[in-house]
Amino acid sequence: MTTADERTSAFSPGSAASAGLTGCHACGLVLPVAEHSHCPRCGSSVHLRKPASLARCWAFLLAALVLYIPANILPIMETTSFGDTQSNTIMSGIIVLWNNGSWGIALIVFVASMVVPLGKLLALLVLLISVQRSPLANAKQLARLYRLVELVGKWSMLDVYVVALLATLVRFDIFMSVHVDSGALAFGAVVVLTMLSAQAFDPRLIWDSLQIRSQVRQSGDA
Amino acid sequence: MNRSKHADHIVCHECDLLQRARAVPRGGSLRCARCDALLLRWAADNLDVPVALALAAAATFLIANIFPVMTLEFQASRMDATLLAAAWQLRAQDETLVGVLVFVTAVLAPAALIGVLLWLLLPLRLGFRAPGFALLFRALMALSSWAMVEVLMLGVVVALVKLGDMATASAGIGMWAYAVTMLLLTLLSSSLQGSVIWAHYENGMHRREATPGLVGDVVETHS
Ligand SMILES: [Zn+2]
Ligand SMILES: [Zn+2]
Repeated sequence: MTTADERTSAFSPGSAASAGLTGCHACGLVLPVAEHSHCPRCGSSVHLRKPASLARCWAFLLAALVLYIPANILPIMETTSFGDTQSNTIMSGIIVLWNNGSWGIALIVFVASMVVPLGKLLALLVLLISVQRSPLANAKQLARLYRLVELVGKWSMLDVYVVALLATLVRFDIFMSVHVDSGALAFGAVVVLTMLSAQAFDPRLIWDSLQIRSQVRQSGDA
Repeated sequence: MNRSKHADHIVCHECDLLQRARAVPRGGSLRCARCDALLLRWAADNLDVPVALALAAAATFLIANIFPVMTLEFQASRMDATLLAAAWQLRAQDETLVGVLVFVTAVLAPAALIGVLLWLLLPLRLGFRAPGFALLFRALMALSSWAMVEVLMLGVVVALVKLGDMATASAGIGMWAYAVTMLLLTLLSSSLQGSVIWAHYENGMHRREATPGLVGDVVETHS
């Protein structure tokens, strides 16, 4: 991004954990793990890796996968205009925008509500499966994938806000009204659960398996 | 107590690579040698700019929540939506959980984020340490991932377009105040570094140890 990005120089042989050190996850202070259960500066609990990272990540992800179905099938809102009631799912809302000629907005909503949630579920699956299998494809690409998941996570909340605003504004009795429907809750839950899943994932595990493999290879050579 | 013997080390939070810390280039950033993660961003050493931005954000966020973000006119009637009203309306429609989600991500988390930043930074700028400093510092990170001001802004834009063909929808003062808050929070996060906060925290402590006479004065201004 900026012109003055610089790289650090690494200590050989790599991970802080192998030197018995860790960086505090909240304030970054470098600590010997054996001597501290809590960070002396900010009080965070000290772990080499996030505790039960993969189990928690899987649990949130599976819950999100289950709720993904009702989130897309159930209507997120019900619109009434002049006695005519219509149910709207996430996808039908996008189609209406597209047909009305608001292509740009339709595309933005499509990315935030369809591409991002599905992409996040798949990306987390790829990360979890890659980390648990021994031949790790490409650590640098997986790290980039993880960063992307963290970055885009919150944007899926878009439709929840839109529905909330419409339901608050469109209240003109029989002429025109908007009611929130159960799909909105399922959809909001998917967003929250995928965010929790991404937060539970410990990206250091990507590099750990790489390091273990190179150690195995070295001992095999000797 | 914080003069750590590992002060010249830095550990990548994403890949755990142990690295030698170095000065962050002015206006640039420091990246991990192995995984390319952003380790440190350059930030000014003093807290004047972050404190000013946080104060301004507190003011605009207050305005954003008092005034409606959107207004809808249909025939002779007119409806306003503030964010609190939107969360409350969901409750009224028996979607309390969705209402809670909107309230937490659009109102509570951003408000707490701004409040915590002020609570930490303002006393530091004045030369003393706020009570609960460490606990609230840890809360900052959680708050920033659940505060979704920028997503809400986009939500208002989408709602405006959706309502466009049914009735006359317009953005209210609240929306503009929200937009400014979003801008201020973005500037704030790029002008502030955890390491700078802790440097001020520790300097304050050293000064206090070196000149005990100062402590009384500082505490007095606090109370
Ligand atoms: Zn710490
Ligand atoms: Zn790294």
